[in-house]
Amino acid sequence: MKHLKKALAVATCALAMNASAETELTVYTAVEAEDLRKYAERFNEDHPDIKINWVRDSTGVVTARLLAEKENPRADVVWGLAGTSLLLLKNEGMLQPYAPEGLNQLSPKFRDRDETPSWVGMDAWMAAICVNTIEAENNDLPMPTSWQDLTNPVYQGHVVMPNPNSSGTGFLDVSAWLQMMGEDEGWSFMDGLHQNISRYTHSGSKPCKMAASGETAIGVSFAFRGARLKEQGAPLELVFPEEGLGWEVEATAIVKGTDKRDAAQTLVDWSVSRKAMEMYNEGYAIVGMPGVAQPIEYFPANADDLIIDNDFAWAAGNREAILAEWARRYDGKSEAK
Amino acid sequence: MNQTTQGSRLEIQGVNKFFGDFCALENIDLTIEPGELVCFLGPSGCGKTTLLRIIAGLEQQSAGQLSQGDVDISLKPPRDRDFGIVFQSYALFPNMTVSDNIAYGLRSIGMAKARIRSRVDELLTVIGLEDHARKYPAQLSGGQQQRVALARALAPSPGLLLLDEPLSALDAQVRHHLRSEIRNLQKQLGVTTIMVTHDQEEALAMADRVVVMNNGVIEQVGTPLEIYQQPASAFVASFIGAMNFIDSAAVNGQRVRVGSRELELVRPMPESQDCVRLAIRPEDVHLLPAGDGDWEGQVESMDYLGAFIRTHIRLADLERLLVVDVDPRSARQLNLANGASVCLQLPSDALHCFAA
Amino acid sequence: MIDSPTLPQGASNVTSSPSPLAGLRQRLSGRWLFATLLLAGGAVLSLLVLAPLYSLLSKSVENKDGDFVGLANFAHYLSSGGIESAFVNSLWVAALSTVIVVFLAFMAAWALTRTRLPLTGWVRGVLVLPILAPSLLPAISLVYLFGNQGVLKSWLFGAEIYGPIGIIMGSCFWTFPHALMILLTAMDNADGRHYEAATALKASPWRTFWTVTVPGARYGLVSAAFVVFTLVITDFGVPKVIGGQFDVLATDIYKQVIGQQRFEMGAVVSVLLLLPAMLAFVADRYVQRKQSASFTARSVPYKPSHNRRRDAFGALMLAPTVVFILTIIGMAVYASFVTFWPYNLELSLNNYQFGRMDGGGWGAYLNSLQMALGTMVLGTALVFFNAWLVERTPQPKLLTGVFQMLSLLPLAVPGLVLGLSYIFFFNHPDNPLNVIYGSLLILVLCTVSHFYAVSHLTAITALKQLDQEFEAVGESLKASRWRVLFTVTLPLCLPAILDVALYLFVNAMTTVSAVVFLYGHDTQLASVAVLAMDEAGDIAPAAAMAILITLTCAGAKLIQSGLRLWVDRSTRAWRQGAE
Repeated sequence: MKHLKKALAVATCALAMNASAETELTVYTAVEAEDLRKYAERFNEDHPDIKINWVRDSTGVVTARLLAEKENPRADVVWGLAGTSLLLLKNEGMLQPYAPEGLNQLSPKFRDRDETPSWVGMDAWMAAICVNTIEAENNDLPMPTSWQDLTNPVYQGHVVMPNPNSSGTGFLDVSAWLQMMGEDEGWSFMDGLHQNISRYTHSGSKPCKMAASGETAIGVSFAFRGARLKEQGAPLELVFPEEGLGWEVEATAIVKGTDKRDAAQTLVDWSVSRKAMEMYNEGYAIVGMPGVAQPIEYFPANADDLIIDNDFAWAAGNREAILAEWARRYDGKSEAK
Repeated sequence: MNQTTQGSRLEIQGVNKFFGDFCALENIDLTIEPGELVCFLGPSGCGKTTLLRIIAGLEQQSAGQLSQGDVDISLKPPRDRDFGIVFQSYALFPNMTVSDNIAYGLRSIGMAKARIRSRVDELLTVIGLEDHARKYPAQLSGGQQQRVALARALAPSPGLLLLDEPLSALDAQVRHHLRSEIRNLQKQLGVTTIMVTHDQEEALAMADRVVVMNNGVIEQVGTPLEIYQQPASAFVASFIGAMNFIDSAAVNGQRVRVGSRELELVRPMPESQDCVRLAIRPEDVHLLPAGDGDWEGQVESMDYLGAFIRTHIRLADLERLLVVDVDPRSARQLNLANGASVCLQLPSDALHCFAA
Repeated sequence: MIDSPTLPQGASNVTSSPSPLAGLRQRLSGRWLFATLLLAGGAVLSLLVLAPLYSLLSKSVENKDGDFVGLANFAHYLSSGGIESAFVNSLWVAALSTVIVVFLAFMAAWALTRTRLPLTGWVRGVLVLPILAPSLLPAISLVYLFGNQGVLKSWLFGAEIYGPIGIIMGSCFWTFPHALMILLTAMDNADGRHYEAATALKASPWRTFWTVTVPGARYGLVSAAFVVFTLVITDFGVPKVIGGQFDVLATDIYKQVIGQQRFEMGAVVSVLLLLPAMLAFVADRYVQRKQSASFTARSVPYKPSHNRRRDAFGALMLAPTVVFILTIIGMAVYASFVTFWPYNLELSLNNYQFGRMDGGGWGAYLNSLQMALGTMVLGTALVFFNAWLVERTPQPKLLTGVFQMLSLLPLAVPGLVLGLSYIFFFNHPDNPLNVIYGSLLILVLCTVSHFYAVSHLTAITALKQLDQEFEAVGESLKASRWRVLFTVTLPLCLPAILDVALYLFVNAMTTVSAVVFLYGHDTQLASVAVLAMDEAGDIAPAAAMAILITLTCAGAKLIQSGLRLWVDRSTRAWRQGAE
């Protein structure tokens, strides 16, 4: 009996910690953990009365969790989740449309197309190839400059990319290739690429991490992760293929049913403010408000030109078919040696 | 022992017990008198332990009534019945000392501390383990553990003492010694006692009355002498002591035919039977020097068993060897030896007869 | 009724019938009380395991909108290709891991119980280390050892660690202690008389081993095989991190649920995953049922004789496992100090400054500690009480059978499935329990359920070993089962209770798969932080946090060993009969 009481005490303690005078927002996010403190601090400089309670995990887990909680949503705001995921939530009717202050200053690519958008964009998250310079040299690999280069037999067994069935980054790449090259050519490019792939990973950042630690020479991943790893001292070269880059918007949305609408709206207003955009720019080359972004280290100066004109609606609409086709082509034989 | 327990009378009426389709006990009627020691005797699986557990309330009978003294206990849980029990494993609490084990039942009924202590001391004296009060069961020998279990069961002065194969885990010498010890203690306390055993010798030596059971029914109830001398069924006859069985054909109500000869019977024959089984104990067969009688046989083998010699004799009319116990003196007089011829007689008053 | 109470009559009524209190007391000790309690225990388990699982698995026969579609999802899944390979892969990887682990664990248990090797206490300590470590730890170590840059890469003869080899190595590492503990229990209680008989019959050591040792441990072997097989086949942590694109059923769930948010397909795979686990469960139960029949009463403890060659052989059998485990742990310790593997091997302590670290840092660590303590206390109490009801109180057979199934079910459920199930069930607006959602309590409950099965088996085994007649004796001495429980059963089961407590604590510290869906903003956990840091590429800090968790668990293990020693000392008199 005593034990039960103790356990209950522990539980009530946990509940009690929620209670506090200021407004608290539960914010679900997939933003890198290292940035969360910065985001909250900058926001609190302007709005000290709103406390952000982060629940962070990888994009897939956060999305699954939000969807699973559909019957009884726990998040007030989603700040920093992939546009595709938000589209999914929107289709499930889980988002509260809201037009934040300064909406008209956002680039049209960075907002939901509805008049009162369900989500508003923060920054762009773009594909990149992480090349380990030491391993490339050891294996006499030329530095690739384009996607097509990766089908060169010289790279056989040296390329790692995320499995689009497990990873949003993987799907981003596949969908970009199909959009850039057209369906037929896109698939035949992937057929060629598949010959060089040593393995598909379940996580989007893993290929770049593997390149950073020399587990592979070339990892198809995304720029943010590559830049961070380079900063930490990894012998990486980031390649941004000339054909164009797949990208994904990171965005903010209000979860329908929140009882803290005012605070939520305040947060969304702030999330598209100039100050926020400048903050995003510290880690991302492209942000939602045109004219704000300054070139940053490790990213190409012409990032804006490199990203393709991504049709998110097309990607979302054809996602299931694309993934099935991908699995049919590459999954079944993926272990065949 | 200054305090004698008044044993209670136990009445069992029409008790049945089924485990699924299997009938473990069938229509058991039995009365056990105050102060009596009764043994339930039978082969394993005969239902004796089940009956004991029903008396204790550890099993629920499928039908029938039990009453102890004037109280109907048929539906009472074990805690509300009045008994002490000793199991084959003793089930002593290994984490408690000898005195704590004995005091366990006294503490449950909320006896005052001082009284508990004096009662425990008293019992320790009775079982002769005064010096071992602070020891744990694991530090005692098997026989000592057995006595502690007995003292624990007797401590609250129950009206009924149940013993489930209490001696079978002990070696022969300790067993013999404890037999008489338990018997004396029981007589001294006057506690009604039921003991389950599969050891007929134990039952005959200790019991006031023996209840012989087989296949869920009571075959016979009686004093050890009755059970031995007047077995009520072939099963009892064969289960208790040694017995020769001889197949025979009835001639009339008083005579039977065995092979080519006819025998006279004193005891009544089972009714309307063409064939009957005769039975005679090995010590009841009379042996005569060869030529002194008309029923002759050859000695096949002889086992020296100390007080007597168990002799196996082949007879012309019988398929099976006849077992005869002879005292060594008579054996010498008869010149018994392997292969020797001998004559024998089956006294009518020693012949039992059962349905074939 | 007229308002004129006839007091004398009423009073006489009361005195003539037994007082209601006595009636109540009588009933409280009756059979139906215990059946009711077990029913309640079963209801709690249903609430913690069955109901959540149903809320998820029922989606396998529904479409996205929640309409019933029969087996359409199964048909779709089976026709989508690549499934046969995942199913077959799962089976053979699990089977091979089982064979390896059971063999190594058996040889280790043999060497620990049948030889006179020195330092067996330390060796035992080393051999259970894997259970104290979060699952990411072996993954990091295996990459550092056998990966492309690995120091022992050449040992794989050109094969890759990413794939079945990595999965099998990783699975063997973390399941080994489970098998070892079961086999040690089975072999610790050897009957010396069998060995004496074998010696008397002039059997060679080899023949004795096959005719006495192996048959004596056969039930332990079956149990160990069942547990290892089920653990491997339901685990997605190792395959996800080191399996490359090698498909197994557990990662298929990950793909469906995390990659594509298709819960109904995730549910389909979960159901398919339950099949082999259930089959293993039934097989195990079938074999174990026979065990009770061949149980022997009194035996003489086995004492190994002096035999150098046998001891040397034992050492030879232990050495590879000990070296493997120490290497993995050692590599992880090294990894936690390295600045940037493999290009900057300078060592530094920076990675241990959790206060400056993201992903929760010390806060997450303290949460984990609280959660683990809560799981330990609540779980041990629940597990033991229920096991006591099953084993030591009169119960209808059907009820105990159902309860037994229910308590072993969690073993066959992947953590990811359990975690998601908890969202669907406990977060439902109509569920009055939804207040606990997001709290530490739900993490505790989920973890208790997740690790219920093995704890339950341990408690049952301990309770079975007690004399079957304790309660009957108690009844005859007017002591209720409750009094017997507190004065006899609990003291006698203290060692097993400590084992269960440690098991729950350690698993709560290291678990990830289920709780990743359930932690709230103020209940982040250290084990999840390890994953997050690794995900962000901060491998060294991740390794450091993993080491901290391992050290904490090792500390718990030391405390538990100390307590056990103390219990053993203070109870030696009644355990061994020695002074």
